[in-house]
Amino acid sequence: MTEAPTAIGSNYPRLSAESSAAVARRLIEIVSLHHGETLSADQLEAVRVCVAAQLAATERLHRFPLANDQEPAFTVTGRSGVVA
Amino acid sequence: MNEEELAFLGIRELGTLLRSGEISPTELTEVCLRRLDDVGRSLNAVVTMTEDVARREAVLAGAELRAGLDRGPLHGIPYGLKDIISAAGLPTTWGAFPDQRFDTEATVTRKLRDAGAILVAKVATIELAGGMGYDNPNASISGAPGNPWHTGKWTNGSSSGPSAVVGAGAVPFAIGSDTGGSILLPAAFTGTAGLRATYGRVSRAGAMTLCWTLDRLGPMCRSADDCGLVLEAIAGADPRDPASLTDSYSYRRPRPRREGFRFGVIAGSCDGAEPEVSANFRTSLAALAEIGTLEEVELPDLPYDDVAEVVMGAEAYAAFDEFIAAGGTAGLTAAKARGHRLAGAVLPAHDYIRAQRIRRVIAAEFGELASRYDALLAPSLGVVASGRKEDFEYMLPGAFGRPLNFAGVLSGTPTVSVLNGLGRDGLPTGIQFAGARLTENAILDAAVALETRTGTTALRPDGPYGVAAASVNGRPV
Repeated sequence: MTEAPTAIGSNYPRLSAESSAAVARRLIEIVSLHHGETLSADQLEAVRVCVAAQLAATERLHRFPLANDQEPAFTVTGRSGVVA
Repeated sequence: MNEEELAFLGIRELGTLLRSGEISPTELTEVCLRRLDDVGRSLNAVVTMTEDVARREAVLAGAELRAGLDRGPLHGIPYGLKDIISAAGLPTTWGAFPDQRFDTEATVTRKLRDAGAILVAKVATIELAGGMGYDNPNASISGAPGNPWHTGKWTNGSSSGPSAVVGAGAVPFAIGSDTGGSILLPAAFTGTAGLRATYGRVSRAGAMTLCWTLDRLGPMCRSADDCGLVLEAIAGADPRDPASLTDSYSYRRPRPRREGFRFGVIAGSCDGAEPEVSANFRTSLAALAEIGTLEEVELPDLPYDDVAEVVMGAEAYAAFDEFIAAGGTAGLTAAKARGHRLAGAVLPAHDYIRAQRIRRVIAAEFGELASRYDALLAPSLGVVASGRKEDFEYMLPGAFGRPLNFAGVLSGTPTVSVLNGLGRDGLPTGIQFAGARLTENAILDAAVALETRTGTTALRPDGPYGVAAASVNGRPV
């Protein structure tokens, strides 16, 4: 049986350093595929640095406890008959 | 009064001269055009001089004022527009595309015309408002922007042009934009006053989008009082910007507040700052203690930097996804920009939404703290301007590590930065006043009170055009 989510502490799975490095390599590979493998070495290095920073930032955000009903800082309403 | 003195007057003083007939809008406009062409261009701060538009608007303003039609404090006042904001028929390069033009005009441009202000130049921006990443001042088709206080230093970005032309006395005010500090940080480096008003106060219609949930337009001026006058002219609801607020805004009041303030001083806000920055901040606190109470407060311990990085990474990628996917970043000036933002392609949607969920927590907790004070205080930056030819680390760690900036960025609350003294090499230092949402008048009143007590608005760069050509305060450049 699966446990219900809790906001007391973050249960977000924590990747090992090896897994995280492997994820980073795959993500960089995906970026390269998006660009037809035309990226220069300098561009790839900039991607590598940014991917590493993104992964570090998101990992820290994964440690932040959130309850199921905590909404994002933007709101979709039906006012005026449009999504606004 | 000579041209140099005229060039550094505030908006109210210029308005008095314009209404008394001592100068005409045309004469004032010609002064600005000369200075833009001279010092403005030398600082790489000018993209397009708008002489024809300016002279036409100046003649009209002069005729209206003589006829007794007064459009308010900006009537007859020249200004510059950051080149991510459109003016119909004129180039709007976004710092990257020299031939780009738009048929439609930004709401802020129209509002300023309605207020009688005179557009004299489109002024420089870091390419795409720095949104693709950059770590060098030379990240614009305009070249590396120079700082009016020391031409070997840079202005910070991305509102490089607005801060440079105001700081150099080439225009009385300019309109900048801010996503993660792009008004606040150049204001600190150039000794200008920069106001990031409440998110939604100023319509962004007609301006380049970098991040929908963060972008704001705002005034860059020589004083906090001028920021209030400009904000009153450009604020207001706009059907073209779904994020614009319906709340009305008025700055001019019979008796603005000058005492009885409650200030919260952010604990640890001088940690790692240069000694002169800390010293000037302490001097400001001493002056503020004469007009209010000071209480040290802890900023809520929340992941400001990480939330900002993820939100910006996702939204900046989305705003430019076609450009990025087509390989457009390879043609940008900044080496970092060619690859940096491509990583947004692999930033999961759930992580972006998680960041926005945490952002709501930040807005609630920071908003609650800010609502207990008239202003929260911290140095605007921990350092003075760095070299014009030097790369800097992205977001200036050690300098940018003032979490009060990102707390205000993410909460959508107002912040004004004003000059509070000179630091190393005679370069400006700044103090930021951050408030709760919709409390622009409280932070502006407090900033004006500080400026009035300390006389910092009288400080200006050395040199024949307010620009240090060979020395700064007697020291060689």
